[in-house]
Amino acid sequence: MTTAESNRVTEETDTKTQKNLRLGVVLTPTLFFVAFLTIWELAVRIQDIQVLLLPTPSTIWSKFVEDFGLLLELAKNTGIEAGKGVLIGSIIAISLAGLVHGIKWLNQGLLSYSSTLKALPTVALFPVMTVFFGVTSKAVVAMVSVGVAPIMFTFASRGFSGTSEHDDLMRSISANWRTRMTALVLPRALPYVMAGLRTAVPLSIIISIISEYFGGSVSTLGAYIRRESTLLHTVQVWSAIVMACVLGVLVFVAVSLLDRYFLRWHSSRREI
Amino acid sequence: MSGESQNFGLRATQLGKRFSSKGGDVQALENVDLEVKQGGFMSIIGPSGCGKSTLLRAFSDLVEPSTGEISVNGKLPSEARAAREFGVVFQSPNLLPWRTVLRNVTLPLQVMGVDRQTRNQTAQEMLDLVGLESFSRHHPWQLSGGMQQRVAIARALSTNPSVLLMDEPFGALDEITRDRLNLELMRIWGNLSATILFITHSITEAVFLSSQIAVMSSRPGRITELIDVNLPYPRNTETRDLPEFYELVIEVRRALVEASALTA
Ligand SMILES: Nc1ncnc2c1ncn2[C@@H]1O[C@H](COP(=O)(O)OP(=O)(O)OP(=O)(O)O)[C@@H](O)[C@H]1O
Ligand SMILES: [Mg+2]
Repeated sequence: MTTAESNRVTEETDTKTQKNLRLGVVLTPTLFFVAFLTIWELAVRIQDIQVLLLPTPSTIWSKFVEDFGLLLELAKNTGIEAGKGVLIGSIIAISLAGLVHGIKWLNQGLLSYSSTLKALPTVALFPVMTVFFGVTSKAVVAMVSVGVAPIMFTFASRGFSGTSEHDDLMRSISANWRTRMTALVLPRALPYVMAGLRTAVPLSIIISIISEYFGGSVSTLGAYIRRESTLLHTVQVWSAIVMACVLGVLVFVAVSLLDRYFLRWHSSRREI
Repeated sequence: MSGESQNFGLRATQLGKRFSSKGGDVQALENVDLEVKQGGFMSIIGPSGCGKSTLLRAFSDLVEPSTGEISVNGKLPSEARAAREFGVVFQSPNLLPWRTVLRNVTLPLQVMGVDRQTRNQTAQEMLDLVGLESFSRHHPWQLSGGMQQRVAIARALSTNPSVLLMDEPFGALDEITRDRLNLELMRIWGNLSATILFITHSITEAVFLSSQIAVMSSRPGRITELIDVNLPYPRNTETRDLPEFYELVIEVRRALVEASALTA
């Protein structure tokens, strides 16, 4: 067998195993999920558990379908709050990181703070937010910004701290500040910003919903879940939780698509 | 500046560079005298770490000399840089991966404030020159190493500089590709009449391209020998078959061996 031939064969088997892998990635969790739902459904029916305690998946599903319009509206509002929070938090964090990346001691100081903040349960600050913003949607947005900003700062700061031969290039062509920023510094930081967003965006949904438990606009997922649970409308609570999961998956997919689009030049994307 | 120094594309007098670091100081360059006439092609050859890149970086205003004087077209490197009189080709292609080939080549023009249409047109011409006209929309990673290096050359040429500073531009390429790019470089140089400073580790490459070769030795980095290459221009594939070519290769090799022995 010639080298070319053997190469082709290994390539073929490679793509085959890859296909199998990809199939496995989808198939295995799906099977687990279906099995899980079936056991849940059967357990509730056999044990005759009250709907109030734990409804069956099928009851939840039919409620989800029935209330879909309402749930969509709630999810939209929650999503908008989360989105605004991510936007504001990221803009502040990235600008700050961009401004201080040349000043070593300041950057280092802010980095230690953001690393600590990242680990703290910032949602606990929500009551403080309501002092500033009232029990409004704004307080939720502010809470998300505060939760997201340290993450984005850490990632952006890492992105800005990189140096490479490209800096020599920029100097050798006497690039001005603006070109240096747009042609080099920002694109070079982009993979880090995207990595930050992959963490920050799902987190923003969590922070929004938990904040909404405490107040804010009434027409949001969190407020709805809280209200319905005090009324012991367990099925409604569960259907809203399903919607929250759908929202989480959607934003995750959205970030992945953005990531793929913006970083299509990136080495990790070459083979796709 | 005196009229005399205007005739030199590149000139270094008693140039010295000392790097200080925690691990101890390094005298990268000492008493380096170098003169390249405008339109001249000077190659620098020497053992690894002897200070070749440092010398080139001093001319490109990326390294501040510790002692001595240095000029590009009779100006300080910083002035020459501001006036965009030189283009630099780095040891690696140094292309921006997020930009297409065309937008990599237009970058220096963009910095100069040239309008989009003119800079695209110029960049396209430069890509024609290096034989990559059909790759303008590709991204760097879609190109081979040799093609990327040609893009880097096109980028350095885009501002029509009168001086080209090239740091082992073909160092990472195979012999055949290197020979081809050498021919291309000769063709381009013939049309441009630019002053070129060219660093290489390849003796045949140095002989084939240069009008003069500076041999360096290390610790401290200094020029030990200057060899004139009196082969006729334009150089082409036949040049490599001339007996004088071989004589020069032997002479440069001898000089290089002697320079390396000095290092010890
Ligand atoms: N920024 C720097 N800081 C400290 N030392 C440096 C720096 N740049 C170069 N040197 C030192 O100066 C010496 C010359 O380095 P230089 O890169 O000029 O060598 P070179 O001749 O280009 O080598 P090569 O052929 O391997 O590229 C080396 O000893 C190197 O360690
Ligand atoms: Mg070098």
